Amino acid sequence: MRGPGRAWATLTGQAMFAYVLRRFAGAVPTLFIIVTIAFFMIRLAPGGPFDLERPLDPLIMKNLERAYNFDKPLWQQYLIYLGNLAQGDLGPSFTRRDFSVVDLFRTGLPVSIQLGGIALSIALVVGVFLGALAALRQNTWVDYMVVGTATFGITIPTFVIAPVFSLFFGVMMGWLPAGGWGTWQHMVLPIATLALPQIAIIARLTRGATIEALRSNHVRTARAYGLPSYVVVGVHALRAAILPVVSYLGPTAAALLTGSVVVETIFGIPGIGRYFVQGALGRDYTLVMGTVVVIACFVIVFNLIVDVLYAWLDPRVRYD
Amino acid sequence: MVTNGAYMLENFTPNDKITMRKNPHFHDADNVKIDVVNFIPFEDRATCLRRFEAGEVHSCSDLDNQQMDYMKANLGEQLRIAPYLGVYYLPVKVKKEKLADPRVRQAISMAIDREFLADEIWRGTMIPAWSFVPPGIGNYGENATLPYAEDDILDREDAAKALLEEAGVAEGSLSIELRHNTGENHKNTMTALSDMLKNIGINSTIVEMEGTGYFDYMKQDGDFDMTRAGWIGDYSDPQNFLFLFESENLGFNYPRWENADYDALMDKAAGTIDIDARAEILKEAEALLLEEMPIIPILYYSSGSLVSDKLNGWEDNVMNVHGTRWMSIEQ
Repeated sequence: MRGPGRAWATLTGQAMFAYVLRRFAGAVPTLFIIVTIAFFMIRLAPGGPFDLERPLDPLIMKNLERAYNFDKPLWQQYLIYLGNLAQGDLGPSFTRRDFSVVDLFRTGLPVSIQLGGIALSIALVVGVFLGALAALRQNTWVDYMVVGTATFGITIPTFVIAPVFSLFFGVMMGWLPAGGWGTWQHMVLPIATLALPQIAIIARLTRGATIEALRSNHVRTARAYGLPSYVVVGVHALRAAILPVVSYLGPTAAALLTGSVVVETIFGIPGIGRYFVQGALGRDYTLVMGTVVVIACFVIVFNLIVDVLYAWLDPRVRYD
Repeated sequence: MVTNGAYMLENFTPNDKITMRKNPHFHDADNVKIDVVNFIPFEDRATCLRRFEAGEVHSCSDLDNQQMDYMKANLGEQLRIAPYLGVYYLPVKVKKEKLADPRVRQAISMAIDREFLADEIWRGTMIPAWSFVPPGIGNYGENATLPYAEDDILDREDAAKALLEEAGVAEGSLSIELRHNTGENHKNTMTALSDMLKNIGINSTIVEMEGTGYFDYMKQDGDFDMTRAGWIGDYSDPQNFLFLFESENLGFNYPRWENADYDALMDKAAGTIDIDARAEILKEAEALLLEEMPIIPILYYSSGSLVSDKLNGWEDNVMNVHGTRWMSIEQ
């Protein structure tokens, strides 16, 4: 049997570096296509950022349009946007006149990352632990408990959990703030809301994969070698079992770290999750574009991390 | 930011809060009791209610109407429903022969159970209206009100039937169309109105219109019998309400009511400098409007707020303006 440590050693070399580099080079055209499609799609939506219930004076409207380059043909606006984007300038926000889109993300993104990052870590540790436990005690009450709770956790949407948590722990018990942002106490309920469904999903994934892994040849071989069972399970079985979790984590991490509309709205958290919806509804073109760019970057980076992790975990995967 | 106001802007984080700190250079700084004010935006009114109940915010400037019953039962005096500078009324096309007689219009007005509309249809977010100008305007004093404001609805229905008979309208002979723009509450209001009119022998049909074309339709002298409209005052003055029905105001005079006496009174008021004398003239104009009834006022708008017991100095007012410089917090 080939040890996983040796496989990793052969991969950390040039092949690995070239692979990551290639992927980054591939990300640029991907991002370009995403930006292009998003740019023209949002412009197709009827209405504009300056359409209000009470129409603006035509002269003011003209001035506004000139200030934001709306008087130029669309392709020129697109080129201007691309030029600014290349310099890291996401433009001014149309609906929040006092802020540029970069300002909004500079204050909002750390909040979302903090919240999503902690929720994700907790979900990963607890979910994998519960899933493995259930798999090892398959068809016992432990297993039924985990599977039952997980199914329950997946079916209850966050827009139900969040207000219930806020009402129970915030209003009725008074243990934690019902909403807002600032201290660690403010983070407990939103993190729990974000983590719970993820724990459920990860536990189920881990359980299924672990059961399968325990029956696989390499685990049977490890057992036959007489390795202690914690090594068999912890090193050999779990390593294979974690693969589906890792591939699930890519898009999930990107989604969690870029904020949740529901959780941010219900708990009143100043993250970036709401900007996508607020921007789209307010026809805040630059804000929508900014959100698209940020989320796309996260998705690309996390997919890359997942692929690298995959090869490390499963030596059969090669960077070709 | 340079300001000579009571507070200075300290911090503004979108979706989080706007923080204002007391301005030490403010001329009356000694009497400003609250040092820091946080204005927190809430997309969801229910969230504000929860944080209010948890004692994290002292006041919510808007209410979740779906939870009105709960708030009434649990928050007591902390729930404030105050008259707002707005009126919800029914324009009647006076040019139509069947509606030309003021007695007919008055009878319709009598038969409307405004308390039912306010409490049941609008869940207490509206207040029964017996005048066109909302109460609480400083330079107006007591309103001109409808004489049957205090009468029981059953007595009013009898009086309405008598009035219709006097006007030569036999029971069941009058059919009118009730038109409203899209909106759950408007629709329910019209359905309730239709029932109320049936009680005095007037048949009615309900027609719904999309919001965008609706007001234009009324402005352009559309062929309606009775519609609904609302008016929120731009500033706290009776003229800002009464001018709507001057003969020349074709943009807002949906009933197309023309009355030389009314116009004369409005002109006279415009030329009167003495504020009390002016108020008297405007009151005369309003009385005439209510007598002729080209529009039927049914509800006043209200402003709803949650105000903590600990927050002192909050005074309800028709403009719904509340300066923190006049408030204080009890520990």
